[in-house]
Amino acid sequence: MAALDVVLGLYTAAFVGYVVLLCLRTGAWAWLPSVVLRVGWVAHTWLIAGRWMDLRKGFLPCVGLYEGMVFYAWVLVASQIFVEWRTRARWTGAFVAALACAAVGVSVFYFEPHGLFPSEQLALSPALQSRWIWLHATSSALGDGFFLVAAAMGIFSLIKGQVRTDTLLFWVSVFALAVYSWFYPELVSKLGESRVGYALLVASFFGFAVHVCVCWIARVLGDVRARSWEEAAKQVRMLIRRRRKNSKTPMPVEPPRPSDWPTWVARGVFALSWVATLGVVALTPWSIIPYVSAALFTVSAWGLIGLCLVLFRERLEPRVPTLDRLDRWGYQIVLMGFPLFTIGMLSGSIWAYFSWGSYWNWDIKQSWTLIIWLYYSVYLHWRLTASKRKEGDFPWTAVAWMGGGALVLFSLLGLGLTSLGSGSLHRFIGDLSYGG
Amino acid sequence: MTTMLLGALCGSSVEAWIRMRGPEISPDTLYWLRLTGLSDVFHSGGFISGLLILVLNLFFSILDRLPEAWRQANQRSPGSLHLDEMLRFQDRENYFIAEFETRISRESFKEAMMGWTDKRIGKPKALRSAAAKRGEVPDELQIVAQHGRWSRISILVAHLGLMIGLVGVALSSYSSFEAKLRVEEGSRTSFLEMQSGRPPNGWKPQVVAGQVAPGFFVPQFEVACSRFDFVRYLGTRNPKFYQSVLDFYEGGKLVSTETVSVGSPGKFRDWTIHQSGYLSGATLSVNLTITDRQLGKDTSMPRLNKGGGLKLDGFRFELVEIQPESEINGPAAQIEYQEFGKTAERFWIFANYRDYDFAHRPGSRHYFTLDSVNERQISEIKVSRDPGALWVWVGGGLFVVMTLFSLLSTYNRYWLIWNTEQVTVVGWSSKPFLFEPRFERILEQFKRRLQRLDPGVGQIAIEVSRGGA
Repeated sequence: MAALDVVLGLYTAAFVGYVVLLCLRTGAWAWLPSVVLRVGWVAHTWLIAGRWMDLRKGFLPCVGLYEGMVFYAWVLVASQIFVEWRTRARWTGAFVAALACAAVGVSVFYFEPHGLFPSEQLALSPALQSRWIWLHATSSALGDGFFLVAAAMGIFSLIKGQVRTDTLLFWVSVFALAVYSWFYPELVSKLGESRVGYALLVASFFGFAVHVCVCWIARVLGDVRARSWEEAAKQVRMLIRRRRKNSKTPMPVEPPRPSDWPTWVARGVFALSWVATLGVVALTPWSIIPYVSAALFTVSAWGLIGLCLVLFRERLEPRVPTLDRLDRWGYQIVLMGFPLFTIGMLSGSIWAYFSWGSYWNWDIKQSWTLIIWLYYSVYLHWRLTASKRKEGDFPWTAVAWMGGGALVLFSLLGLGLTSLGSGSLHRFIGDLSYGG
Repeated sequence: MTTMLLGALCGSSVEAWIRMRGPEISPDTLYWLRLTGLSDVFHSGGFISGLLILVLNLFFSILDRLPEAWRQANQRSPGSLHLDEMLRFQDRENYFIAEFETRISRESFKEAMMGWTDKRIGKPKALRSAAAKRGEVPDELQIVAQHGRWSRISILVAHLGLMIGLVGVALSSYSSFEAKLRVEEGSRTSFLEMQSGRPPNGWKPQVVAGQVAPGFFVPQFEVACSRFDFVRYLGTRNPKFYQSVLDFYEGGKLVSTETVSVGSPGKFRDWTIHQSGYLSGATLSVNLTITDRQLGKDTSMPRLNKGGGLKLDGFRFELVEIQPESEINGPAAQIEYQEFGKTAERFWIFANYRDYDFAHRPGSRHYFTLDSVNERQISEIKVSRDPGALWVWVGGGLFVVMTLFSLLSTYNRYWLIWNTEQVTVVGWSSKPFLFEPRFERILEQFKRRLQRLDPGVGQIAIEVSRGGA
């Protein structure tokens, strides 16, 4: 699949286009990244179809990390294209294209140079030769794809819902810290030999940690106005005294004020950490620790989106539809994903029964699938029974979509790519073995 | 919900922990884990009870909602609406109201809007409102229409599907079992290892040296693997296909023969027989051909075991060693060959280089060709019974179909109310947040139609009830 490079190039171009789209004052060129993404997807489809019909002889190519990543990226982009077609909501493309680039990047930079995919990966074990895999993998992946697009939609709901951009940056930092904490030893072992690499790693990791702390401080100091350090210290003392007296008084909710110096300090720290992360991504060999590189690439891509929002949010906001409409779209996207996800579970259970003798094995992946299913069934019940959102209400639905997206990401990558999923029947999604 | 979450988390984590750390866990800890059902959550009493409570909860919830849903589904059109009363007293949630100031006549309104409603919304019905009949309001005509009246029934059926699925899970938890047996090709076995669930009646614990072997049982039947077919991918060790021909014996008599392969299980009594895996056995044999150079005659020697051979006039040979496919140079065999009066010689022949012996021992009367090496595999069979599986699939299928139907359809009702001073459009939906844009579209079309009847029509107000006025 040397032509996968072309697909990666197109997805990267689409990502850049979507990010530029976030920064523009007008939506006149909004169709361009969409078209690039679609062209990339058509090329991607052609590659998958070729592998399906030619190398796999009619079996869906979704086995092993190489095919799994390529297939998931394809399905994710398909979900985004479908959502764009139905809603014209293009901004979610930035997040989705970043994830697709990371997934395809693993295949291009790791598997192809190592030549790991050809003959060994083509040897499908008898359990994987089932026709049920077609329905199981496609519907589960589509369900996941729709849930992830809904999560991306949640970010724009939060923006429209007057949530501070700094809060979004705070969560990007938390995500980055989680990724760094998880992979820190591996990164140190790979980058530790180079002084520059190690310095960038430390700067990036601790930068995000400092950003998280500064965000807290900035929140505490949200209503401090000071022209000098002495004045600031005095105001902080007053603030603490006031809070001690009446600790139940809620913090005043105010729109972001660019003049707040703690906020700008936090943003500056975030920007520095982000630049350091770019350096880490550049120095981290994709060909050695691909999943770490992919995760860090996602951190940098989402960080870039966050920084663009900091600078150009005022331009974007008028172009994002009302919260009510976003709420409807998000609900409808989850609505598409939920039955597909259920079909994936059911067809998987039928496949498992005929292959292994039981329809449910309490495999860790199955357990997390059940948790995600329960999560979204609770969301749907809540959304259908809750009263209509009132003007000025916090968009909790957006938080629900993003929480679901985090669960899906963890289930897909957290389990598949780490030791948590070792021994899982679904391990063949996450490594080079074959399952069954 | 708690049951399912507990099952999901404990089922995989505690059981995996016990499997991994089994020998290190103290008997006391194991005892408590078994007592609390954590060692096998899926088959524990707590899990089954939780499922049954969930099933009962679903059952009574469905029963509670069914009469109202059934009434709605059978209502061919909505009844007339007492607008003032609704606005004053009723719960206004889910209602959308728009008012237009117009003086068009009752007849022209009815004539124009019946056709419009039929085309845009659904089958209309014209009613004289109950309030007008009672004289509480002046003359009032209501054109009513609705669609998606079955959507509430479908959501109940979807939950019924879920209930059926959960009954299936409870059945599986209570009465399913899985046992594994290993049988070498050409041999017979009479014991199984239980993997989960309780053994069926009549299966006795296996006794070894006077002690009960925990987890092992002796059923009333014996299984023999008369043939094990095994195909690898060319040039790899990876299996492409394998299947077992199994003979089942009861009281020494053959009662059934089943051929099972991965994904294609067989049946014996009410148990399902799955081909769950294989192990490479130690027993090897070869198929080889001996060619007499003088006579030009080939002799096939099928399934020749190690140590086997042939002694004829003038020569003898013996199969000394067999090398399986996994080794370097592929399948091979070492032969000891002796023509009488000469010293014995040892040499290798290779299945992948068939002319090797012919080329390397030109002076010998006989040369050997290795056709293949037969590995006798150990077939791994799973015997299981799961009466709940079909319930789960039927319930799950019903759930998916009905969920799609109910989530993609909405129950909407419309009232076009005419009176001498104004026209009011009222919409109601079971999903108000999805209904709003649809109502606005309908309203726009309605307004255009109304303007054709009365160009001077003016919209007074549009009100969207946002729950509990």
